[in-house]
Amino acid sequence: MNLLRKAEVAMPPPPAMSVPGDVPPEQRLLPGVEKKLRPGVKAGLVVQGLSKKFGGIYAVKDVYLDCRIGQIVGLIGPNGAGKTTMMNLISGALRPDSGVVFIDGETVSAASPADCAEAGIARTFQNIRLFKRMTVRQNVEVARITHRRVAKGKESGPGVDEILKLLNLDGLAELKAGNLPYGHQRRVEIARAMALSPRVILLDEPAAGMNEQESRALIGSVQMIRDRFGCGVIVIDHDLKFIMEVSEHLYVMHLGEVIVHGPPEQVRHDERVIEIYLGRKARK
Amino acid sequence: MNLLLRTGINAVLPIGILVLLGSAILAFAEPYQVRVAYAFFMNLVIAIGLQVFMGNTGVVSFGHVSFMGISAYAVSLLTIPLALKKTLIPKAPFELATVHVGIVPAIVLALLFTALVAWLSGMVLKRVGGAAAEILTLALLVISFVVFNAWIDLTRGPRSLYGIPVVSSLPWAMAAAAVAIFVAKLFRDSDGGLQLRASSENLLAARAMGVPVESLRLRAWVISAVLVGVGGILHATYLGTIGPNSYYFTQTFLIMAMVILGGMRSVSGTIVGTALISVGSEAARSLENGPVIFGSKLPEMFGLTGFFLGTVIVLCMTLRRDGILGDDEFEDIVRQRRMRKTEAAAAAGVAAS
Ligand SMILES: Nc1ncnc2c1ncn2[C@@H]1O[C@H](COP(=O)(O)OP(=O)(O)OP(=O)(O)O)[C@@H](O)[C@H]1O
Ligand SMILES: [Mg+2]
Repeated sequence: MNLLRKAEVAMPPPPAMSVPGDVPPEQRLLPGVEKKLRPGVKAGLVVQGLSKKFGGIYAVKDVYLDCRIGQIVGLIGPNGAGKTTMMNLISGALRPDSGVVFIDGETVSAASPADCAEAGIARTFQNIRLFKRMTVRQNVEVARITHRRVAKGKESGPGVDEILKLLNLDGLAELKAGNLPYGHQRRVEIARAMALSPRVILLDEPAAGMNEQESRALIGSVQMIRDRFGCGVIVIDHDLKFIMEVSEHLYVMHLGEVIVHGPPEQVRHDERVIEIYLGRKARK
Repeated sequence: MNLLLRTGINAVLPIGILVLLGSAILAFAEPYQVRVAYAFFMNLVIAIGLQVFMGNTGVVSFGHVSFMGISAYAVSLLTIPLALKKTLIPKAPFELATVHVGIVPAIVLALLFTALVAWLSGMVLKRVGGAAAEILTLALLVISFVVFNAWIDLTRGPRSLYGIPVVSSLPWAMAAAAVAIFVAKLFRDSDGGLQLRASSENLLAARAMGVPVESLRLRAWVISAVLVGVGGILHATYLGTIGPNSYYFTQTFLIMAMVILGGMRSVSGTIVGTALISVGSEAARSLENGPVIFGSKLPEMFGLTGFFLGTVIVLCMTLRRDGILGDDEFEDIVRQRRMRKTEAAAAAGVAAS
């Protein structure tokens, strides 16, 4: 409970980690963000000083990141920037070398993926990972069972039927998930993650392989998820147009580090971002 | 409650057909055919037991027949008359030579003991998946065979135990098969069964959805071991005599062929596979002895049964990896057909208007 309050304040890292003054200014939460939170709810995901090395090279280096309930956070960066590794660290698929992940103020870092799911972290996968031989409904049901077990009878959020309807999957419910086209499969992955009634959901390139029209519709879906399920959303994508429009706060990663973050409009005009992102394209 | 009811309804069809078949055999068949039918129902119980583990976890097990042996030996050691025991195994450990219990408590104790062994071995097994787990199950089979064979004081080794009260008969085997089918379907459709099947399809995604993979694997392992144990009791209490060779590779291979041919991921598939393999290996066995067909005597072909099983497995693995029924239960097939029919009707309606 103590931790909870600490995490809610703004985000001074816990004393054991580092002194608040040590946090570089651009890695602190921007003042504007607090205002965007729904009144009364402040909890959500807080990541502090997360690092992970592969073979001596940092894939993620000392990352601070915040995703409060009701917030849609974007995460962009060139290939190999460490975005997926971040997702894996937050969701327990990888153990961090150092750093802490809080959900509603409780530590979940170094927990197993199943523990993270129970704590309220849901995710989708960049390379789709459905239970292919099962029906769409069964895919969603698998996650819902976990929620029912954790909630001990006090289920929260929409049930399986409503989730299917919300993501326009009700007509496909009895089909085998592996037989669907990719765009549909991505939606099944989102539906499955939502069935956990999570505190925060991590979407790894949900618009990949979608056409213009589908990714437009996806923007609406992501906002619907936030409103209807009352959770935080972290979205990774390479489609800048999509990510600028959907996210309220944007983090830019490069070589494992967050180089800048802020409201999308502000980030878009940041020199370093133009340099690594747009500049590189312009040079081509 | 809902689940129990649904499973009951779905199990009515296969159980009904099997009971009709068994009753017909009881009423009309000769003793030899009754023996064949008994073996079919006994093997069905064992195959379904194996399906509970293999079908839901996706891990192949070569070790389940050892649970058949464990419960068969356990029930025998508890029920062989004391006078006979004194001559058969006078030096039995744990005072077993002086212990005698009724058949019902003996069966309960044997199944509990089997569950205990399964739980202990499962504690090791649940941590590993894939090939490592499969090798562990093979080791289990070999270890148990060595124990049955070499612990002469307890099991009499290869000279086999006899004098087990012959209390079982075809109706018992039929009842056991019906219970096994119901339990297997119930587990498959239960929350744990669904989550476990998800983990066998995509382990990473299942873990990310909060599936407690290890504890579910353990649960499936123990349930399936107990069902296979029931098969072992059916074996011992029908023959009245048991030896280590009944619980080794030949039996393992037979049961594997049954489960794989029908489709290991479906209970219905296992029923189909067991029926086909039973008929096939019975035919192969009669050919082995060089029968007389249309007046001409065929040559004797020893080992034809094994050859038949091997061929079935090879053909199945190359032509139809998922078995005859794949993932589907009988009720899924009925539902899919109905769905297709309504779709066709709807399409016809659209075309007409
Ligand atoms: N399990 C792993 N073992 C070794 N190296 C890894 C592993 N996972 C990621 N890496 C490395 O870490 C770095 C970051 O990879 P990551 O997948 O996080 O990038 P990304 O930002 O998601 O890229 P993309 O946009 O292509 O998805 C890369 O150099 C990658 O090769
Ligand atoms: Mg990635």
